[in-house]
Amino acid sequence: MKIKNFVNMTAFSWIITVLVAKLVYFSDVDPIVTPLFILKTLILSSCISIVMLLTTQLKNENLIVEIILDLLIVNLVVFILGGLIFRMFTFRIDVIKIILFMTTIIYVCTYISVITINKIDANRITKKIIQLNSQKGDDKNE
Amino acid sequence: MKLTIEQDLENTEVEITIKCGIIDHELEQLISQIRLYSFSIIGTKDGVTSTIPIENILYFDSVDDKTFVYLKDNIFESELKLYEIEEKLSKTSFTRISKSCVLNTKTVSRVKSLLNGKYEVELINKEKVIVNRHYLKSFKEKFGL
Repeated sequence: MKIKNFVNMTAFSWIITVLVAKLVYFSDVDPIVTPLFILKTLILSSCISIVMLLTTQLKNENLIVEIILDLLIVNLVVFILGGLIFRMFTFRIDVIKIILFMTTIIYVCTYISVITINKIDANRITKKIIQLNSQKGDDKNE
Repeated sequence: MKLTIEQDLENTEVEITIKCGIIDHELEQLISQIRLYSFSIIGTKDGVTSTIPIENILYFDSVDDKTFVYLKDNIFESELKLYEIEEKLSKTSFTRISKSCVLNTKTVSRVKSLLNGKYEVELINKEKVIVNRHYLKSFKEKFGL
């Protein structure tokens, strides 16, 4: 994962976080999307991407293990940075449940976006190969 | 583009000079193609050692600490380690696609995205290989993405 992927992932997860936070209203979590909230979520999203970047090489080839590891990283950063340091929420069972639900939804959305980008890129590569092959064919005919 | 070829019997070695303003993707591809032609790999099969032109190689695969060279219809064993091959061919069309495989992207005929985030790549001999998630970026870069 290089800088472009890092920026894509951070930007996408950040947007989804702000949107979900705006949609989900619950008393103990700051419901108002303030500039400070937006800044905190940007720092959170960036930190998650950095930690994921650092742990990329440790990851297992198994998809399920990798998703579980990703979700662990996401939640660890959210609870330590968002909960303990930024105090964006309190550590109560009902709040923790909602946070876990939110992080899972955001992770799934980000994962789907990455898969979609990969699919678009795969089609672009195949098109390029077909174009190159037809060019080669034309050159041979000439 | 201007192409000048100077043929002279006094030239003992082929020398290619490229004069350009900037190196764009097309030129980068051309340079990697030229680099490809200047390399060859020594491979062994049934005790017979052969020199394999690099452009004929589909991919290198490492199994049990041994490196195998896959051609369209032949397999050779190489004494080189996969990381040595990767280093040697880094500026050509070759790229690592998994822990055990280095692929010649010039031999790709079709790319399919899988749901698990990997790519399934079909080669010119209809063989299929998998590009792991961690190597997708460098794989895409070889196609100018």
